[in-house]
Amino acid sequence: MTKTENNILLFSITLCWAASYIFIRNLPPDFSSYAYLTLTCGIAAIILSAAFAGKLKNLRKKTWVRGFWLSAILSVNLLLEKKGISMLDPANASFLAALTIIAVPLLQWFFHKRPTLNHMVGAIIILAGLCVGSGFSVRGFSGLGTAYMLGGCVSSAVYTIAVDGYAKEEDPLLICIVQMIFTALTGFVLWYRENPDTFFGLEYTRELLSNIFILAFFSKAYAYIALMFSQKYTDAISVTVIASTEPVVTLVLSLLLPAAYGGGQAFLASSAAGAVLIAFGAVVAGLSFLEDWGK
Amino acid sequence: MKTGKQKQFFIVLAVFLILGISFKVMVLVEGLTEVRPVNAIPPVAGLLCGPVGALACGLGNLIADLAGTFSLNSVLGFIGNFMAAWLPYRLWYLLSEDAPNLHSGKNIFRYCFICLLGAMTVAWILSFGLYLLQGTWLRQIYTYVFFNNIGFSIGLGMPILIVLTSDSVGIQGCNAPERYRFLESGFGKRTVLPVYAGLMILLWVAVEVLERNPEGSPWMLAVSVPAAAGLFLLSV
Repeated sequence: MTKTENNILLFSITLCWAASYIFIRNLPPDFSSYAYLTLTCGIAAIILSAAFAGKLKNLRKKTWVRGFWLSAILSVNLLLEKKGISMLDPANASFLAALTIIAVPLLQWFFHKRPTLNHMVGAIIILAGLCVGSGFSVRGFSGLGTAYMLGGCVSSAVYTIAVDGYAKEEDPLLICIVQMIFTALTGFVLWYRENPDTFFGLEYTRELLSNIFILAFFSKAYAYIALMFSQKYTDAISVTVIASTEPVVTLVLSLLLPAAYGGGQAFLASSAAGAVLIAFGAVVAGLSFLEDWGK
Repeated sequence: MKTGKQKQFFIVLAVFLILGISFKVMVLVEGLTEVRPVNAIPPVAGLLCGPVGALACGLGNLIADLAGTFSLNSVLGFIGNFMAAWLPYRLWYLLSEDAPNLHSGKNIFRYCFICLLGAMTVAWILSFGLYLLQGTWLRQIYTYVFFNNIGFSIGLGMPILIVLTSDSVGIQGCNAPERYRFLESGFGKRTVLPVYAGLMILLWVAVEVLERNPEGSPWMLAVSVPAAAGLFLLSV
Protein backbone atom coordinates (compact mmCIF):
# COMPACT_ATOMS: atom_id res chain seq x y z
CA MET A 1 0.00 0.00 0.00
CA THR A 2 1.42 3.40 -0.97
CA LYS A 3 1.57 6.41 1.38
CA THR A 4 -1.18 8.17 -0.60
CA GLU A 5 -3.42 5.10 -0.39
CA ASN A 6 -2.74 4.94 3.32
CA ASN A 7 -3.63 8.61 3.87
CA ILE A 8 -6.85 8.19 1.87
CA LEU A 9 -7.74 5.23 4.07
CA LEU A 10 -7.02 7.09 7.30
CA PHE A 11 -8.99 10.09 6.16
CA SER A 12 -11.97 7.89 5.29
CA ILE A 13 -11.94 6.51 8.87
CA THR A 14 -12.07 10.06 10.19
CA LEU A 15 -14.96 10.72 7.83
CA CYS A 16 -16.84 7.64 9.11
CA TRP A 17 -16.31 8.51 12.77
CA ALA A 18 -17.25 12.15 12.21
CA ALA A 19 -20.43 11.12 10.39
CA SER A 20 -21.39 8.51 12.98
CA TYR A 21 -22.60 11.23 15.39
CA ILE A 22 -25.56 11.80 13.02
CA PHE A 23 -26.73 8.21 13.49
CA ILE A 24 -25.92 8.03 17.20
CA ARG A 25 -28.09 11.13 17.61
CA ASN A 26 -30.97 9.26 15.94
CA LEU A 27 -30.91 6.46 18.54
CA PRO A 28 -33.58 6.63 21.28
CA PRO A 29 -32.42 8.80 24.25
CA ASP A 30 -32.70 5.89 26.71
CA PHE A 31 -30.77 3.48 24.48
CA SER A 32 -28.05 1.86 26.59
CA SER A 33 -24.48 2.46 25.42
CA TYR A 34 -23.73 -1.17 26.27
CA ALA A 35 -26.56 -2.27 23.99
CA TYR A 36 -25.04 -0.02 21.33
CA LEU A 37 -21.64 -1.66 21.80
CA THR A 38 -23.05 -5.20 21.75
CA LEU A 39 -25.24 -4.71 18.71
CA THR A 40 -22.86 -2.68 16.53
CA CYS A 41 -19.78 -4.80 17.27
CA GLY A 42 -21.79 -8.04 17.11
CA ILE A 43 -23.25 -7.20 13.70
CA ALA A 44 -19.83 -6.03 12.49
CA ALA A 45 -18.27 -9.33 13.63
CA ILE A 46 -20.97 -11.33 11.80
CA ILE A 47 -20.63 -9.30 8.57
CA LEU A 48 -16.84 -9.54 8.57
CA SER A 49 -16.82 -13.27 9.43
CA ALA A 50 -19.29 -13.97 6.62
CA ALA A 51 -17.46 -11.85 4.05
CA PHE A 52 -14.03 -13.28 4.87
CA ALA A 53 -15.08 -16.77 6.03
CA GLY A 54 -12.27 -18.35 4.04
CA LYS A 55 -9.66 -16.54 6.11
CA LEU A 56 -10.99 -17.69 9.49
CA LYS A 57 -9.14 -21.01 9.24
CA ASN A 58 -5.89 -19.04 9.61
CA LEU A 59 -6.82 -17.84 13.11
CA ARG A 60 -4.09 -18.65 15.62
CA LYS A 61 -4.12 -18.56 19.44
CA LYS A 62 -1.84 -15.50 19.37
CA THR A 63 -4.37 -13.58 17.27
CA TRP A 64 -7.15 -14.42 19.74
CA VAL A 65 -5.02 -13.19 22.65
CA ARG A 66 -4.03 -9.98 20.90
CA GLY A 67 -7.59 -9.34 19.73
CA PHE A 68 -8.75 -9.84 23.31
CA TRP A 69 -6.29 -7.25 24.65
CA LEU A 70 -7.28 -4.73 22.01
CA SER A 71 -10.94 -5.17 22.86
CA ALA A 72 -10.14 -4.84 26.58
CA ILE A 73 -8.29 -1.54 26.05
CA LEU A 74 -11.08 -0.28 23.81
CA SER A 75 -13.72 -1.19 26.39
CA VAL A 76 -11.79 0.58 29.18
CA ASN A 77 -11.53 3.63 26.94
CA LEU A 78 -15.26 3.57 26.26
CA LEU A 79 -16.20 3.19 29.91
CA LEU A 80 -13.89 5.98 31.08
CA GLU A 81 -15.11 8.34 28.35
CA LYS A 82 -18.72 7.49 29.14
CA LYS A 83 -18.16 8.41 32.81
CA GLY A 84 -16.22 11.56 31.90
CA ILE A 85 -18.78 12.79 29.35
CA SER A 86 -21.59 12.40 31.88
CA MET A 87 -19.75 14.70 34.32
CA LEU A 88 -18.43 17.39 31.97
CA ASP A 89 -19.64 20.04 29.59
CA PRO A 90 -19.59 18.55 26.00
CA ALA A 91 -17.04 21.12 24.74
CA ASN A 92 -14.64 20.32 27.60
CA ALA A 93 -15.14 16.57 27.19
CA SER A 94 -14.48 16.76 23.45
CA PHE A 95 -11.33 18.84 24.04
CA LEU A 96 -9.99 16.35 26.59
CA ALA A 97 -10.79 13.38 24.31
CA ALA A 98 -8.80 15.05 21.53
CA LEU A 99 -5.67 15.24 23.70
CA THR A 100 -4.69 11.85 22.26
CA ILE A 101 -2.71 13.90 19.75
CA ILE A 102 -0.32 14.73 22.63
CA ALA A 103 -0.69 11.44 24.54
CA VAL A 104 0.49 9.22 21.64
CA PRO A 105 3.85 11.00 21.05
CA LEU A 106 4.40 11.28 24.83
CA LEU A 107 3.81 7.56 25.35
CA GLN A 108 6.03 6.72 22.41
CA TRP A 109 8.74 8.96 23.87
CA PHE A 110 8.42 6.96 27.05
CA PHE A 111 9.21 3.86 24.97
CA HIS A 112 12.27 5.63 23.48
CA LYS A 113 10.61 6.33 20.14
CA ARG A 114 11.24 10.03 19.64
CA PRO A 115 8.69 11.90 17.51
CA THR A 116 10.05 14.15 14.74
CA LEU A 117 10.18 17.93 15.07
CA ASN A 118 7.40 18.21 12.49
CA HIS A 119 5.23 15.86 14.52
CA MET A 120 5.73 17.91 17.68
CA VAL A 121 5.14 21.32 16.05
CA GLY A 122 2.13 19.93 14.15
CA ALA A 123 0.66 18.49 17.36
CA ILE A 124 1.02 21.85 19.13
CA ILE A 125 -0.72 23.67 16.24
CA ILE A 126 -3.51 21.05 16.24
CA LEU A 127 -3.88 21.50 20.00
CA ALA A 128 -4.15 25.28 19.49
CA GLY A 129 -6.83 24.61 16.87
CA LEU A 130 -8.74 22.44 19.33
CA CYS A 131 -8.51 25.19 21.98
CA VAL A 132 -9.90 27.77 19.54
CA GLY A 133 -12.54 25.55 17.97
CA SER A 134 -14.02 23.60 20.87
CA GLY A 135 -15.04 26.66 22.95
CA PHE A 136 -14.37 24.98 26.30
CA SER A 137 -14.45 26.80 29.64
CA VAL A 138 -11.29 26.67 31.80
CA ARG A 139 -13.37 26.43 35.00
CA GLY A 140 -15.15 23.34 33.67
CA PHE A 141 -12.01 21.18 33.98
CA SER A 142 -12.03 20.70 37.73
CA GLY A 143 -13.26 17.44 39.25
CA LEU A 144 -13.35 13.73 38.65
CA GLY A 145 -14.78 14.06 35.12
CA THR A 146 -11.45 15.42 33.86
CA ALA A 147 -9.59 12.50 35.43
CA TYR A 148 -11.90 10.03 33.69
CA MET A 149 -11.49 11.77 30.35
CA LEU A 150 -7.69 11.87 30.72
CA GLY A 151 -7.77 8.16 31.57
CA GLY A 152 -9.85 7.61 28.42
CA CYS A 153 -7.35 9.64 26.42
CA VAL A 154 -4.39 7.59 27.69
CA SER A 155 -6.20 4.31 27.00
CA SER A 156 -6.98 5.56 23.48
CA ALA A 157 -3.26 6.31 22.98
CA VAL A 158 -2.33 2.86 24.34
CA TYR A 159 -4.83 1.31 21.89
CA THR A 160 -3.31 3.19 18.94
CA ILE A 161 0.21 2.12 19.90
CA ALA A 162 -0.88 -1.49 20.54
CA VAL A 163 -2.63 -1.69 17.16
CA ASP A 164 0.52 -0.23 15.60
CA GLY A 165 2.51 -3.18 16.91
CA TYR A 166 -0.04 -5.94 16.35
CA ALA A 167 -1.20 -4.87 12.88
CA LYS A 168 2.32 -5.21 11.52
CA GLU A 169 2.57 -8.82 12.67
CA GLU A 170 -0.99 -10.07 12.23
CA ASP A 171 -3.52 -10.31 9.43
CA PRO A 172 -5.48 -7.03 9.83
CA LEU A 173 -8.75 -8.75 8.91
CA LEU A 174 -8.42 -11.51 11.46
CA ILE A 175 -7.35 -9.36 14.38
CA CYS A 176 -10.18 -6.94 13.61
CA ILE A 177 -12.76 -9.77 13.59
CA VAL A 178 -11.45 -11.12 16.91
CA GLN A 179 -11.49 -7.64 18.44
CA MET A 180 -15.10 -7.15 17.33
CA ILE A 181 -16.15 -10.51 18.82
CA PHE A 182 -14.60 -9.76 22.22
CA THR A 183 -15.89 -6.17 22.30
CA ALA A 184 -19.41 -7.43 21.55
CA LEU A 185 -19.09 -10.01 24.35
CA THR A 186 -17.80 -7.40 26.82
CA GLY A 187 -20.65 -5.10 25.82
CA PHE A 188 -23.15 -7.91 26.30
CA VAL A 189 -21.88 -8.73 29.83
CA LEU A 190 -22.15 -5.06 30.82
CA TRP A 191 -25.55 -4.78 29.17
CA TYR A 192 -26.79 -7.87 31.02
CA ARG A 193 -25.64 -6.37 34.34
CA GLU A 194 -27.47 -3.16 33.53
CA ASN A 195 -30.64 -4.78 32.23
CA PRO A 196 -31.03 -8.60 32.25
CA ASP A 197 -33.69 -8.38 29.52
CA THR A 198 -30.96 -7.31 27.04
CA PHE A 199 -32.21 -8.03 23.48
CA PHE A 200 -35.77 -8.64 24.69
CA GLY A 201 -35.97 -5.27 26.40
CA LEU A 202 -35.59 -3.29 23.17
CA GLU A 203 -38.34 -1.96 20.97
CA TYR A 204 -37.17 -2.74 17.45
CA THR A 205 -38.34 0.00 15.10
CA ARG A 206 -37.25 0.29 11.50
CA GLU A 207 -35.36 3.49 12.32
CA LEU A 208 -33.48 1.87 15.21
CA LEU A 209 -32.47 -1.12 13.09
CA SER A 210 -31.38 1.14 10.24
CA ASN A 211 -29.19 3.27 12.48
CA ILE A 212 -27.67 0.24 14.19
CA PHE A 213 -26.85 -1.40 10.85
CA ILE A 214 -25.33 1.80 9.51
CA LEU A 215 -23.18 2.29 12.62
CA ALA A 216 -22.16 -1.39 12.63
CA PHE A 217 -21.15 -1.24 8.99
CA PHE A 218 -19.33 2.10 8.93
CA SER A 219 -18.13 3.05 12.39
CA LYS A 220 -17.20 -0.52 13.37
CA ALA A 221 -16.72 -3.02 10.52
CA TYR A 222 -15.31 -0.64 7.92
CA ALA A 223 -13.53 1.85 10.20
CA TYR A 224 -11.66 -0.76 12.26
CA ILE A 225 -10.68 -2.85 9.25
CA ALA A 226 -9.37 0.30 7.56
CA LEU A 227 -7.57 1.31 10.77
CA MET A 228 -5.83 -2.07 11.09
CA PHE A 229 -4.84 -1.97 7.43
CA SER A 230 -3.47 1.54 7.52
CA GLN A 231 -1.56 0.91 10.74
CA LYS A 232 0.10 -2.04 9.07
CA TYR A 233 1.75 0.41 6.71
CA THR A 234 2.22 3.55 8.81
CA ASP A 235 3.10 4.72 12.32
CA ALA A 236 0.91 5.55 15.31
CA ILE A 237 1.56 9.30 15.18
CA SER A 238 0.45 9.65 11.54
CA VAL A 239 -2.76 7.83 12.45
CA THR A 240 -3.39 10.16 15.39
CA VAL A 241 -2.62 13.25 13.32
CA ILE A 242 -5.15 12.36 10.62
CA ALA A 243 -7.71 11.29 13.25
CA SER A 244 -7.31 14.70 14.91
CA THR A 245 -8.78 16.36 11.81
CA GLU A 246 -12.19 15.01 12.87
CA PRO A 247 -13.45 18.49 13.95
CA VAL A 248 -12.66 19.76 10.43
CA VAL A 249 -14.63 16.93 8.83
CA THR A 250 -17.48 17.42 11.29
CA LEU A 251 -17.62 21.12 10.41
CA VAL A 252 -17.72 20.36 6.67
CA LEU A 253 -20.41 17.70 7.18
CA SER A 254 -22.57 20.06 9.23
CA LEU A 255 -22.38 22.56 6.35
CA LEU A 256 -23.17 20.00 3.65
CA LEU A 257 -25.87 17.84 5.25
CA PRO A 258 -29.55 18.81 5.39
CA ALA A 259 -30.70 20.06 8.83
CA ALA A 260 -32.91 16.99 9.34
CA TYR A 261 -29.83 14.78 9.29
CA GLY A 262 -27.66 16.72 11.72
CA GLY A 263 -26.43 19.41 9.32
CA GLY A 264 -27.37 23.04 8.84
CA GLN A 265 -25.79 24.09 12.14
CA ALA A 266 -24.74 27.70 12.83
CA PHE A 267 -21.36 28.48 11.31
CA LEU A 268 -19.16 29.99 14.03
CA ALA A 269 -16.02 31.96 13.23
CA SER A 270 -14.22 30.23 16.13
CA SER A 271 -15.06 26.77 14.71
CA ALA A 272 -13.77 27.82 11.28
CA ALA A 273 -10.55 29.28 12.77
CA GLY A 274 -10.05 26.12 14.84
CA ALA A 275 -10.61 23.93 11.77
CA VAL A 276 -8.05 25.91 9.73
CA LEU A 277 -5.45 25.59 12.51
CA ILE A 278 -6.10 21.83 12.85
CA ALA A 279 -5.79 21.30 9.09
CA PHE A 280 -2.58 23.37 9.02
CA GLY A 281 -1.20 21.41 11.99
CA ALA A 282 -1.99 18.11 10.25
CA VAL A 283 -0.12 19.26 7.13
CA VAL A 284 2.91 20.36 9.20
CA ALA A 285 2.92 17.02 11.07
CA GLY A 286 2.66 15.07 7.83
CA LEU A 287 5.74 16.70 6.24
CA SER A 288 9.41 16.66 7.21
CA PHE A 289 10.66 20.15 6.31
CA LEU A 290 11.67 21.04 9.89
CA GLU A 291 13.91 17.97 10.11
CA ASP A 292 15.52 18.81 6.77
CA TRP A 293 15.91 22.46 7.80
CA GLY A 294 17.71 21.51 11.02
CA LYS A 295 20.33 19.48 9.14
CA MET B 1 -7.43 -13.91 -4.14
CA LYS B 2 -9.94 -15.01 -6.76
CA THR B 3 -13.56 -15.54 -5.79
CA GLY B 4 -16.13 -17.46 -7.84
CA LYS B 5 -18.62 -15.47 -9.91
CA GLN B 6 -21.59 -16.76 -7.91
CA LYS B 7 -19.99 -15.82 -4.60
CA GLN B 8 -19.06 -12.39 -5.98
CA PHE B 9 -22.67 -11.86 -7.04
CA PHE B 10 -24.11 -12.77 -3.65
CA ILE B 11 -21.56 -10.76 -1.65
CA VAL B 12 -22.22 -7.61 -3.72
CA LEU B 13 -25.98 -8.23 -3.56
CA ALA B 14 -25.89 -8.70 0.24
CA VAL B 15 -23.82 -5.57 0.85
CA PHE B 16 -26.04 -3.58 -1.51
CA LEU B 17 -29.17 -4.77 0.27
CA ILE B 18 -27.85 -4.11 3.80
CA LEU B 19 -26.73 -0.59 2.92
CA GLY B 20 -29.59 0.17 0.53
CA ILE B 21 -32.34 -0.81 2.94
CA SER B 22 -30.63 0.70 6.03
CA PHE B 23 -30.52 4.15 4.48
CA LYS B 24 -34.14 4.13 3.31
CA VAL B 25 -34.85 6.17 6.46
CA MET B 26 -32.75 9.15 5.29
CA VAL B 27 -35.15 10.30 2.59
CA LEU B 28 -34.21 13.29 0.42
CA VAL B 29 -37.07 13.19 -2.12
CA GLU B 30 -40.06 11.16 -0.90
CA GLY B 31 -40.44 7.90 -2.82
CA LEU B 32 -37.50 8.64 -5.10
CA THR B 33 -34.15 9.02 -3.37
CA GLU B 34 -32.35 9.14 -0.05
CA VAL B 35 -28.84 9.64 1.36
CA ARG B 36 -27.11 6.70 -0.33
CA PRO B 37 -23.70 5.56 0.91
CA VAL B 38 -24.54 2.39 -1.03
CA ASN B 39 -23.47 4.36 -4.11
CA ALA B 40 -19.90 3.65 -3.04
CA ILE B 41 -20.42 0.01 -4.06
CA PRO B 42 -21.15 0.09 -7.84
CA PRO B 43 -17.78 1.45 -9.09
CA VAL B 44 -15.90 -0.96 -6.80
CA ALA B 45 -18.16 -3.89 -7.76
CA GLY B 46 -17.81 -3.03 -11.44
CA LEU B 47 -14.03 -2.79 -11.30
CA LEU B 48 -13.54 -5.95 -9.22
CA CYS B 49 -16.38 -8.18 -10.38
CA GLY B 50 -17.25 -6.81 -13.85
CA PRO B 51 -20.65 -7.75 -15.34
CA VAL B 52 -21.56 -9.91 -12.31
CA GLY B 53 -21.01 -6.95 -9.98
CA ALA B 54 -23.05 -4.65 -12.21
CA LEU B 55 -25.94 -7.10 -12.29
CA ALA B 56 -25.83 -7.51 -8.49
CA CYS B 57 -25.96 -3.71 -8.06
CA GLY B 58 -28.94 -3.34 -10.40
CA LEU B 59 -30.86 -6.21 -8.81
CA GLY B 60 -29.84 -5.14 -5.31
CA ASN B 61 -31.33 -1.70 -5.93
CA LEU B 62 -34.51 -3.23 -7.30
CA ILE B 63 -34.93 -5.51 -4.27
CA ALA B 64 -34.04 -2.68 -1.83
CA ASP B 65 -36.80 -0.60 -3.44
CA LEU B 66 -39.28 -3.24 -2.25
CA ALA B 67 -38.59 -1.92 1.26
CA GLY B 68 -40.59 1.23 0.59
CA THR B 69 -39.99 2.99 -2.73
CA PHE B 70 -40.92 0.36 -5.33
CA SER B 71 -42.73 1.75 -8.39
CA LEU B 72 -42.35 1.91 -12.15
CA ASN B 73 -39.43 4.26 -11.54
CA SER B 74 -37.54 1.34 -9.99
CA VAL B 75 -36.79 0.18 -13.54
CA LEU B 76 -34.81 3.40 -13.99
CA GLY B 77 -33.10 2.70 -10.67
CA PHE B 78 -32.11 -0.74 -11.95
CA ILE B 79 -30.63 0.73 -15.14
CA GLY B 80 -28.92 3.58 -13.27
CA ASN B 81 -27.27 1.31 -10.69
CA PHE B 82 -26.30 -1.25 -13.31
CA MET B 83 -24.63 1.49 -15.36
CA ALA B 84 -22.94 2.92 -12.25
CA ALA B 85 -20.97 -0.33 -12.05
CA TRP B 86 -20.86 -1.29 -15.75
CA LEU B 87 -19.47 2.03 -16.99
CA PRO B 88 -16.45 2.12 -14.62
CA TYR B 89 -15.63 -1.46 -15.66
CA ARG B 90 -15.73 -0.54 -19.35
CA LEU B 91 -13.97 2.80 -18.96
CA TRP B 92 -11.11 1.54 -16.78
CA TYR B 93 -9.90 -0.85 -19.42
CA LEU B 94 -10.47 1.68 -22.15
CA LEU B 95 -8.06 4.01 -20.34
CA SER B 96 -5.61 1.51 -18.90
CA GLU B 97 -4.17 -1.94 -19.42
CA ASP B 98 -3.52 -2.46 -15.68
CA ALA B 99 -5.95 -4.38 -13.49
CA PRO B 100 -7.95 -1.88 -11.40
CA ASN B 101 -5.90 -0.56 -8.46
CA LEU B 102 -5.07 2.78 -6.86
CA HIS B 103 -1.36 2.23 -6.29
CA SER B 104 -0.32 5.28 -8.34
CA GLY B 105 -1.41 8.91 -8.57
CA LYS B 106 -2.35 8.33 -12.21
CA ASN B 107 -4.70 5.49 -11.25
CA ILE B 108 -6.28 7.58 -8.47
CA PHE B 109 -6.91 10.36 -10.99
CA ARG B 110 -8.32 7.80 -13.46
CA TYR B 111 -10.64 6.39 -10.79
CA CYS B 112 -11.88 9.90 -9.88
CA PHE B 113 -12.52 10.73 -13.55
CA ILE B 114 -14.45 7.48 -14.05
CA CYS B 115 -16.52 8.16 -10.92
CA LEU B 116 -17.25 11.71 -12.08
CA LEU B 117 -18.41 10.53 -15.48
CA GLY B 118 -20.37 7.69 -13.87
CA ALA B 119 -22.11 10.10 -11.47
CA MET B 120 -23.08 12.42 -14.33
CA THR B 121 -24.36 9.47 -16.35
CA VAL B 122 -26.53 8.06 -13.54
CA ALA B 123 -27.94 11.51 -12.68
CA TRP B 124 -28.77 12.02 -16.36
CA ILE B 125 -30.38 8.58 -16.77
CA LEU B 126 -32.57 8.98 -13.68
CA SER B 127 -33.63 12.62 -13.99
CA PHE B 128 -34.16 12.65 -17.76
CA GLY B 129 -35.70 9.17 -17.58
CA LEU B 130 -38.19 10.37 -14.98
CA TYR B 131 -38.96 13.41 -17.15
CA LEU B 132 -39.67 11.20 -20.16
CA LEU B 133 -41.74 8.72 -18.13
CA GLN B 134 -43.77 11.17 -16.05
CA GLY B 135 -43.42 14.50 -17.86
CA THR B 136 -42.24 16.31 -14.73
CA TRP B 137 -38.77 17.71 -14.29
CA LEU B 138 -37.25 17.41 -10.79
CA ARG B 139 -33.94 19.22 -10.61
CA GLN B 140 -33.33 17.88 -7.08
CA ILE B 141 -33.21 14.36 -8.46
CA TYR B 142 -30.33 15.25 -10.78
CA THR B 143 -28.53 17.12 -7.99
CA TYR B 144 -28.99 14.50 -5.25
CA VAL B 145 -28.19 11.57 -7.52
CA PHE B 146 -25.07 13.29 -8.82
CA PHE B 147 -23.74 14.27 -5.39
CA ASN B 148 -24.70 10.93 -3.82
CA ASN B 149 -22.76 9.14 -6.55
CA ILE B 150 -19.69 11.33 -6.74
CA GLY B 151 -19.43 11.86 -2.97
CA PHE B 152 -19.77 8.26 -1.87
CA SER B 153 -17.95 6.63 -4.77
CA ILE B 154 -14.88 8.76 -4.08
CA GLY B 155 -15.21 9.32 -0.31
CA LEU B 156 -16.04 5.71 0.51
CA GLY B 157 -15.61 3.65 -2.66
CA MET B 158 -11.99 4.69 -3.12
CA PRO B 159 -10.82 3.51 0.36
CA ILE B 160 -12.84 0.29 -0.02
CA LEU B 161 -11.05 -0.38 -3.32
CA ILE B 162 -7.71 0.36 -1.63
CA VAL B 163 -8.41 -2.18 1.13
CA LEU B 164 -9.68 -4.85 -1.25
CA THR B 165 -6.75 -4.53 -3.67
CA SER B 166 -4.11 -4.31 -0.90
CA ASP B 167 -1.51 -7.07 -0.44
CA SER B 168 -3.32 -8.47 2.62
CA VAL B 169 -6.71 -9.00 0.97
CA GLY B 170 -5.31 -9.28 -2.53
CA ILE B 171 -8.55 -9.32 -4.52
CA GLN B 172 -7.68 -9.09 -8.19
CA GLY B 173 -9.66 -6.82 -10.46
CA CYS B 174 -11.98 -8.28 -13.06
CA ASN B 175 -10.37 -9.21 -16.37
CA ALA B 176 -10.66 -6.73 -19.23
CA PRO B 177 -13.87 -6.90 -21.33
CA GLU B 178 -13.48 -9.35 -24.19
CA ARG B 179 -14.08 -6.65 -26.71
CA TYR B 180 -15.13 -3.07 -27.35
CA ARG B 181 -17.37 -3.73 -30.34
CA PHE B 182 -17.30 -0.20 -31.70
CA LEU B 183 -14.08 1.09 -30.21
CA GLU B 184 -11.55 -1.30 -31.69
CA SER B 185 -9.96 1.41 -33.81
CA GLY B 186 -7.79 4.14 -32.31
CA PHE B 187 -10.14 6.73 -33.81
CA GLY B 188 -13.12 5.28 -31.96
CA LYS B 189 -11.25 5.29 -28.66
CA ARG B 190 -10.00 8.83 -29.17
CA THR B 191 -13.34 10.34 -30.13
CA VAL B 192 -16.24 8.57 -28.45
CA LEU B 193 -15.11 8.99 -24.83
CA PRO B 194 -14.19 12.72 -25.07
CA VAL B 195 -17.41 13.50 -26.98
CA TYR B 196 -19.51 11.59 -24.45
CA ALA B 197 -17.73 13.26 -21.51
CA GLY B 198 -18.21 16.67 -23.19
CA LEU B 199 -21.97 16.07 -23.58
CA MET B 200 -22.28 14.96 -19.96
CA ILE B 201 -20.41 18.07 -18.76
CA LEU B 202 -22.61 20.26 -20.97
CA LEU B 203 -25.77 18.79 -19.42
CA TRP B 204 -24.30 19.09 -15.91
CA VAL B 205 -23.52 22.78 -16.45
CA ALA B 206 -27.00 23.34 -17.92
CA VAL B 207 -28.74 21.75 -14.92
CA GLU B 208 -26.49 22.73 -12.01
CA VAL B 209 -25.01 26.08 -13.06
CA LEU B 210 -27.50 27.60 -15.52
CA GLU B 211 -30.50 25.97 -13.80
CA ARG B 212 -32.05 25.01 -17.13
CA ASN B 213 -34.59 22.24 -17.60
CA PRO B 214 -35.73 20.18 -20.60
CA GLU B 215 -39.13 21.93 -20.63
CA GLY B 216 -37.69 25.39 -21.19
CA SER B 217 -34.60 24.22 -23.06
CA PRO B 218 -35.54 21.37 -25.41
CA TRP B 219 -31.96 21.33 -26.75
CA MET B 220 -31.10 19.37 -23.57
CA LEU B 221 -33.21 16.50 -24.89
CA ALA B 222 -31.60 16.87 -28.31
CA VAL B 223 -28.15 16.65 -26.68
CA SER B 224 -29.31 13.55 -24.85
CA VAL B 225 -29.73 11.65 -28.11
CA PRO B 226 -26.03 11.62 -29.12
CA ALA B 227 -25.19 11.14 -25.43
CA ALA B 228 -27.32 7.96 -25.38
CA ALA B 229 -25.58 6.81 -28.56
CA GLY B 230 -22.19 7.48 -26.94
CA LEU B 231 -23.18 5.52 -23.85
CA PHE B 232 -24.25 2.62 -26.06
CA LEU B 233 -20.93 2.65 -27.95
CA LEU B 234 -18.97 2.68 -24.69
CA SER B 235 -21.10 -0.06 -23.16
CA VAL B 236 -21.01 -2.80 -25.80
